[in-house]
Amino acid sequence: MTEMVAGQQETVETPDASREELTLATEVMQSMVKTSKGFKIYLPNNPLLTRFVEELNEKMGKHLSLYGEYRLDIDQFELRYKGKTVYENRDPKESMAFKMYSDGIRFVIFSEGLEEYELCGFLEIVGKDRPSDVDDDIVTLLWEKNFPHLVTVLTDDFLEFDADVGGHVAPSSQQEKITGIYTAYSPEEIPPSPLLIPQKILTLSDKETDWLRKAREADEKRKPLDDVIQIITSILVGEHDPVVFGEFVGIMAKLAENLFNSGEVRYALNITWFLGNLARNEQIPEANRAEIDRALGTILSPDTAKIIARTIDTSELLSPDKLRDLLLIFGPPAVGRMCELLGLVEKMKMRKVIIQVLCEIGCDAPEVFIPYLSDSRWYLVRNIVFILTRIGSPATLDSLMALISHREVRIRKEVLGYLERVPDPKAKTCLLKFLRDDSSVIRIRALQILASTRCTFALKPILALTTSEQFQERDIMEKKAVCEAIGELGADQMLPLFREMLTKKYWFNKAKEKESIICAVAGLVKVRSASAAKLLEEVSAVKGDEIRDIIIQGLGAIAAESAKGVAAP
Amino acid sequence: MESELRTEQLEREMIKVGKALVTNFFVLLKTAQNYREGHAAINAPLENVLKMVKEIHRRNEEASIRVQRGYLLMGEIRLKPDAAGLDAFNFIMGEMKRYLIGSINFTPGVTAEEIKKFAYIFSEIEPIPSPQTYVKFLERMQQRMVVHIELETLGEDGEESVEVDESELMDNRKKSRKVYYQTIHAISEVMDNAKMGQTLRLRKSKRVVQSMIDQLLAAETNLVGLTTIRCHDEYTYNHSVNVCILSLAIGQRIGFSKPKLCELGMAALFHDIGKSEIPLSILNKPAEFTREEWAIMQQHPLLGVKKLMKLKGLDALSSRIIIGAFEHHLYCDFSGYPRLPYKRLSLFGRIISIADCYDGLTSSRVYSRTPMQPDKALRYMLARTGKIYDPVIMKLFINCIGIYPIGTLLLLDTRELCVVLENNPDPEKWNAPRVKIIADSQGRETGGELADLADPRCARTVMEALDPNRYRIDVSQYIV
Repeated sequence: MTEMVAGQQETVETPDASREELTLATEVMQSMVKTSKGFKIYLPNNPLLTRFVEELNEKMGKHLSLYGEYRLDIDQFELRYKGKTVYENRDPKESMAFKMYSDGIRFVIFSEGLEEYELCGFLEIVGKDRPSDVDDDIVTLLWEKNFPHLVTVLTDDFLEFDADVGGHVAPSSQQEKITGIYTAYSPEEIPPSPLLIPQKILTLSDKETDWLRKAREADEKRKPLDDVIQIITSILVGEHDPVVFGEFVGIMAKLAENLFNSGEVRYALNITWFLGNLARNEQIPEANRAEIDRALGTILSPDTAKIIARTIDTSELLSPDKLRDLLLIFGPPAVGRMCELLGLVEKMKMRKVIIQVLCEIGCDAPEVFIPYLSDSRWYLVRNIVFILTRIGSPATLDSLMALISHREVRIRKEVLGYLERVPDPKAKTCLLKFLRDDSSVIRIRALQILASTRCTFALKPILALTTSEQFQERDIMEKKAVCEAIGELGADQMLPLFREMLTKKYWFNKAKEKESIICAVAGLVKVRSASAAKLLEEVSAVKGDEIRDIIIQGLGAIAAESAKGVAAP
Repeated sequence: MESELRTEQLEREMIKVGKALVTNFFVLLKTAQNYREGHAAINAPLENVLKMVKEIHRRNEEASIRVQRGYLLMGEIRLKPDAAGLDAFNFIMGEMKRYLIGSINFTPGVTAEEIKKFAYIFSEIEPIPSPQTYVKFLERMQQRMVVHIELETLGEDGEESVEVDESELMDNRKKSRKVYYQTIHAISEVMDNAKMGQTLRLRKSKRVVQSMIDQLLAAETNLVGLTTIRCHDEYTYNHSVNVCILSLAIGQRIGFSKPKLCELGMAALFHDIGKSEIPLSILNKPAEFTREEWAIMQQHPLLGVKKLMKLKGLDALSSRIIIGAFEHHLYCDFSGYPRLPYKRLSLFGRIISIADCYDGLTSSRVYSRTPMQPDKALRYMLARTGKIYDPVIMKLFINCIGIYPIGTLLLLDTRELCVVLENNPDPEKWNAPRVKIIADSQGRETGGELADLADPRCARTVMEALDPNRYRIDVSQYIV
């Protein structure tokens, strides 16, 4: 649909207006349309918009000074000036004419003296897109603005009122009833004049006038929202009927949620704390407190989580202690939303608080965290795995196993931690999968865990690793870790293997030989038996200084372990 | 031939100017209805009318508008309206008929000031179906020194003088009635939606309350007079609208701005919305309530809050409505109900409480006894100021409705019977209101002569206020 403002070339004199008048009226409308669009596109301080407004003001001023008023007849899609269409737009969403027409406006009259703020105010109200479910329309908004030089005439002004519809009964004779009065009163019975209400109690004294002024001022200053909150607060404190109480708890919680969403965070927080305190008040019946807990859980919605996250990151309204308190008030029903919040908050210190609270209140039902394990934000998944690790429940093992091959190494590392901690034997079997992980750090960590938790079933697979071609290419740290795991898990059984590693000659690759010895020493240190020590001493006698030093260090480590009382595996 | 053409052209020009005069006069009257005297909005339409009058005088023609056989004429030239100007023509003709004016002649020398005063007289004088209207209009013109505008009454033999529709003659009252019933319609719609648990929409109500405020600022008496309408079947709706009107009248006395009045009007209109949750069997019970039923009835402020909290968003307006619904049965000393640890009473709450009580006392509610006479209701309430009602607001309320409120049935010392139509603005003369005589000293029903008891020439004084319900007299029919 296109917007059409009558062109000047089309202007033809009408019985009511000269060509010049119509031309100027058209120019005013062109300028109005341009400015109205400008309001939608530009910021209020945009120089272009300022120029549009000035131009419109100038043209309208000129028109009003010449012709006294600018009156537009409003049709469904057209605006007419003295019979001439000066504007037409058939798109109901865009058309200024349609918006005014559908709100019942039939004429709009701008009169001399019109000021810029009135023009801009008018265009902003008429031009603004307004959802159909809001309680204000152009008429009510213009009424509130009370523009002195702008008059609208509504369709209601022309509608005749049907008295019958109003239920008005046409006057009829009441003679019979009147006669009844006169029968009751004989002339002698006419009473004396009634006592009047004394004058002094009908007129305001200075003191009362002063009171009224102060009451008005106080009312003006007071935010009505404060009173509404106070009303509901008093209902919750004073109402004993469980049904009514439950309804108002729900209303209060909804109010808090709405206030969060409308940016009134301080109010929302106060309401939440109030409800939290009420829930802890032992004088309140158990059932009512449960009702509060349930309602509190509903306050933290995805939208409110965003608002709270923004508040945490951009203001000091919530200290770590207050945040902790707030989250504890929201309680277990809101764990899911707290996870959402965790994914939104940027301040690390505050994330730690959220994690702590989630660990505390999520421990009884860790499965609530499962949906967040498939979240697209790796950092949130990592934090959730961390929380589950802290909780250490086997109930979430299957879900976490799905993360073993997660593309993000930091998540795999956290999963490894979970598997280490969780007491389920199945978890340890899963550790084997990490031996083939892409990351050497992960592989090493998996080996360490398998060794430290004495997973003897892992010995065979680990030994198998050493025979693979890829293993030879891995760095010494990983090879050492493998040997340590073998030593830890295989103990004296592995001495022949280590002996071979210690004594094998690499004629043209001294570095390789040294690496083999280092790994074997590391493995024997983990075997830490007398046989292991004997083997090292035996080999040290035939090796050169550099290798001997390595072996001596290994022997020292075994001795230290023995001194600490750590038994051989 | 040439002179004929010339005459025709002149006539065409005169028609054009005449139509412009009618249209501009229409805009002037409309503006005068909506804006108080002295408001800047009146200046442009005023200048336009004067410009047209001068243009007509410049052409040595008579700047007069005349009604004849359903047409408007300027001098002897019939002005045929085009589609765009039809509303203006109909309006002007309607206004002239209502005031029994046959013609308006703007004579040379007329000033903008005179035209302005003349335009406002249409709002100042209430058209009633009596030749007195025209006389009153002339008197008012004299009082306001409008000397360069001459009027003629509608001719005895003229078509217009034969049938004068009474309802048309009462335009201002008609407007008030229109607004009143529109408001009833709006509140009933909202209450019905509330009953069905649907989302409450306030747009329509807001519009009618805004119209009500405009009407109140233009002619307070008319609107306050409408509160005498008593409808048992639709008590809650009537009552809500009455409380709205009475609250607005107090708010106006306090000096609230228009937007603030709108908030007050809305709060008053919805003060009883909680009753939509009360079972009809209780609400419409024709006998006194049991203790249990009273307990249920007393829940309506809380039920109102519950309903209103479901409104989309909680802005200043909806908050004020909630406060009104919650506080309207709380007394000054925080007794009343609901009995909760709430120790604050807003100005709105104090106002609505008084308006609510007064209308409740003077109405024959289904669940209540016979209504109290307005003056007795006032005395009853005055005796309880300080404890139950705010004394300052109560005084302002009496300022609005007088000591003989509109609708009071009075017996005069002449043994005539009358109904109060309007109170004297001077507090010294509150005991002498403007009344409509409904029966002569012999008890014969009369045509409804209007009398200002404060006027010494009237020579009548009030002897007693009577209870119209005792005699089953419907006073509203004399007012509405």
